[in-house]
Amino acid sequence: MKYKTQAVAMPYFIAAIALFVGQIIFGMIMGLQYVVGDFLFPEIPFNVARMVHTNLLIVWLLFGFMGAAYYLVPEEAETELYSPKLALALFWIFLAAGALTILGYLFVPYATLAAATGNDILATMGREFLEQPLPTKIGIVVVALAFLFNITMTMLKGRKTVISIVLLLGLWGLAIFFLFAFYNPSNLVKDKFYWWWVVHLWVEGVWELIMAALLAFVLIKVTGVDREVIEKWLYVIITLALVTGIIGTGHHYFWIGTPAYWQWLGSIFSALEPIPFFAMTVFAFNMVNRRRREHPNKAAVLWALGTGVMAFLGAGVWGFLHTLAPVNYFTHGSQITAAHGHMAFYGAYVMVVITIISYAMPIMRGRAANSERAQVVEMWSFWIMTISMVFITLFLTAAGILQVWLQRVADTPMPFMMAQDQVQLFYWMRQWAGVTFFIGLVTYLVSFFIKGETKPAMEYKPATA
Amino acid sequence: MPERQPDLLKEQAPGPRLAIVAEALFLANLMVAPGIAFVAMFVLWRRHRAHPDPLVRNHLEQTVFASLWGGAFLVGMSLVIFLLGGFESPAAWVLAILYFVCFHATLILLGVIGLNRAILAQRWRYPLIGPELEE
Repeated sequence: MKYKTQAVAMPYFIAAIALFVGQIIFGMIMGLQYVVGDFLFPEIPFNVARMVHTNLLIVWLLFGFMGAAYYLVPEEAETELYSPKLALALFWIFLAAGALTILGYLFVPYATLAAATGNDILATMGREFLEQPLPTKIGIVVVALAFLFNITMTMLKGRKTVISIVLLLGLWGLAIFFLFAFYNPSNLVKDKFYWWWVVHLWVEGVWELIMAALLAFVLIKVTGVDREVIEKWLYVIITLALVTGIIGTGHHYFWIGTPAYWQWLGSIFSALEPIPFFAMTVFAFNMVNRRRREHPNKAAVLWALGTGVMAFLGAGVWGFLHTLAPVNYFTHGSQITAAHGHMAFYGAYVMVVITIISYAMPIMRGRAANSERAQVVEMWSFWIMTISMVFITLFLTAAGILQVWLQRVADTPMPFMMAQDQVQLFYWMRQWAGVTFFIGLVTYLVSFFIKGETKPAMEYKPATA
Repeated sequence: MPERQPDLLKEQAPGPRLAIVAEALFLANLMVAPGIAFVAMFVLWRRHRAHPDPLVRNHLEQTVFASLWGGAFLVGMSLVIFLLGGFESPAAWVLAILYFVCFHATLILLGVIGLNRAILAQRWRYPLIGPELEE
């Protein structure tokens, strides 16, 4: 570790992984509720399990992004973090707020929670992914602003690199677009319109900048490729991401009451949205193929390559599958959307956070890379989780195609619940793939505790020409 | 005089331009301009198939033949699924769409590797669907 204040990233990474475990447990509970409808009812109703599953995902990814920024920015800026104490204080505040919110979801009826937390003063609750009570939302803004202050001040006092600027741009965008979570017009069309300004402009806009910056940072470190080469790629990727992603928001505006021109704009621009993800795949392979010798942290290299591939498949291919308006007319809100959501989140954001954790954690623990044995186990976890996610996606896609056929295409369309009955087989298969994913996650956790011979952190220097 | 070894850590795209264009057209045929990109690739191969640089010949040949075989498998198998299952069968739709998406994505990922090999001035053979490499 070049700067000792980079160590503040460690609690963020640990919390991220712990919450990831929670997310998957609730995913399995929900998966089972799809096939055994009253499983854990009334203790954990489906809507609560879903809320916890999706909210935990967002919160742990935010922990991961923040940890990544605390690790990356000092090293890029070549200076200590502006205020490590502030970073640690924010960690505990964010963790406490997040835990309280999840406990609130689990133990307090949602309507009571809304009444008790001031939703009648400013109504912001009840929208998927943004279910958090008002104090939590305000807390997120305060934490995000203080975090950005800390990171920005660190960068201002040190070296400014393209990677840290792109990362900061993404993080500022993340905070700014979250402000639309507070705008909740009573008109349902407007409500949905601006709701996507948080959800879409996060995952298909500013988060892509964060992802590209993290990937670029790790690739520089593990390949030794010249910074200039990587920065040029980064410029191209973020341009593509913003050009396609911003107007690409239009693919969410089909059939919700917005003007019909959104069908053209949404179709054209979102058909181009796979391109930045494609560029990231080319980028990751290109950089790894350039290296002259193996980095001792093979697991981090594998995660980086996996991010490129899976992000393209999940966000790019599975996104394109149902993004054109004439196709989306049939597939809107079906299990095809769920298939896309699962693989895109895993491929793009889960994997990039694990990439940076995989690279940074051993260094923070005083070694260039984990022992061979630990890395083998970590790489096993990569394959188990990734292959499981591929199968989750395939089974959900199959369920979605059958659902669309039975519910929307057939001469005598079935009602929703009857169609759900017909796709149970795929839900069962998805459930088993989910269990396998969890086994992969446990394997990942185990890899942190495997000892063995390691090289000191400062020993490895990437090859130069 | 020994052949110049490109500095992969510093040079952006040391590979021959024609090879890079061929691989880019292979990907464009799969993604943004199906058919049109193939025609351009085919014309390029016809004009330059006797190019003195073996790397150029390698990528031109691989992309053209991989496109032909890949396209045949992509469309052919999908048609077979529909012919066997019928257009009115939901099972045939499930299988055909899953097959098409997965095989198409595999071709793109192979194309990514091919493009990278071309950019980095390296030879490449598309597994199963690409012709054998020249000695």
